[in-house]
Amino acid sequence: MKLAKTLQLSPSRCIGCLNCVLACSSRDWADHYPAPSKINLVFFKDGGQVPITCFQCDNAPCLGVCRTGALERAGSGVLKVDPTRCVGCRACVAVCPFGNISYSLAGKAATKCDQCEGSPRCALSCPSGAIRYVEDEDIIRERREAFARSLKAAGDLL
Amino acid sequence: MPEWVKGSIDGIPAKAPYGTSLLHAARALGIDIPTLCHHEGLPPDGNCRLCLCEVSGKLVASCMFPLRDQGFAALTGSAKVMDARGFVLYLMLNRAPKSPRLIRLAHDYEAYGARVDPRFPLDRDGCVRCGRCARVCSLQASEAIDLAGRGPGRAVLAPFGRPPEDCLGCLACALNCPTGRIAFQDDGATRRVWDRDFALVPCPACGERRFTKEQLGHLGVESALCPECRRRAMAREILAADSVISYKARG
Repeated sequence: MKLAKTLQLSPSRCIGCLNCVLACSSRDWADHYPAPSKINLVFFKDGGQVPITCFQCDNAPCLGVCRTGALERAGSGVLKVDPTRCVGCRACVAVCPFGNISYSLAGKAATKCDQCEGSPRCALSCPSGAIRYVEDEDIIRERREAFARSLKAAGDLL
Repeated sequence: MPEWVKGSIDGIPAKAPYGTSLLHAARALGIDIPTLCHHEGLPPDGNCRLCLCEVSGKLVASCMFPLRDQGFAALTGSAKVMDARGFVLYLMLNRAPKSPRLIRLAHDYEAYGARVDPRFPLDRDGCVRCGRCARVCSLQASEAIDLAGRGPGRAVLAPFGRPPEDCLGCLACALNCPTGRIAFQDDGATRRVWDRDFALVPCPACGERRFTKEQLGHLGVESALCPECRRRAMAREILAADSVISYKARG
């Protein structure tokens, strides 16, 4: 059985190289051009940077306001935009609580992360493992191990 | 009701799910049919008549002609079709003689003999009365504009010709006008469309003005933060929690 995969972002591992942004933008554009990228790095002056892209919310506000059916949830659970159906009302851009969907004037449609339909370029190009495309199983195991470590650190209280 | 209908388009054998529009069936075969008012995200309305095709000797608007008969024989480029489309283009050019898209179409279909007729008394306002803007608007639950009047006086209007009260200022009408005649101005602080002025709400964090008050109100958006600042706020939370985020999707 093919296990479900998940895009996993670990901001603490991010080195801020912007490879993900360039790789993402090269999907729809022949050239590397960061502006239309669907993954973004947010830099903070007091240190740290966070790669951020669409969370593919379960209860997605963008999906709720799209009246033309341009936004659809694919079988994999990823929310995708069908550019031919988008009329450009930008309601999805206005309601996204995280600013993770945008409108492309060049493409005349809303654009958002669809995890490259199964092989996310951001994950492939990330040199530090901050962005990974992993099986759900691995994430659960990691969480379990992290929890076990925290228990160990806390001593043998249990 | 059969599940599939079989027939031919331009002599090419075609099979389509029952009720598929002729336009979609033809496009699936790679046959190009010109359209102006058709939009995949909107219900078909058959207003522009540019997609006319011939089925069993009759002219039909292919965007809203459902394929229901076994053995249908559609023609998308017969002399009758070309003539009809030429007439449609001719009428539309009399409305919008400067539309680049219409001029290009008239050029592509030179055989149509499309031209502006100086005797035509129509208002050359650039609008071809296809109603695409009104259909887009009706989706925003506002229906601020619609086709009104009959005959030569038919036009896209806001109620009573006054600045529309229900308009959200989203500009989707202007974006989807095939002739690009819906005028709007946006200087970054106010937006003007359909003779109405909209104040753009500034982002409390960075001052960027992206949406009108009406848009945010209609959508029930409480945060007036611009998308970039919302993203920043979320990133700040993630950083503070020092957590690993799993992007839930079962990819």
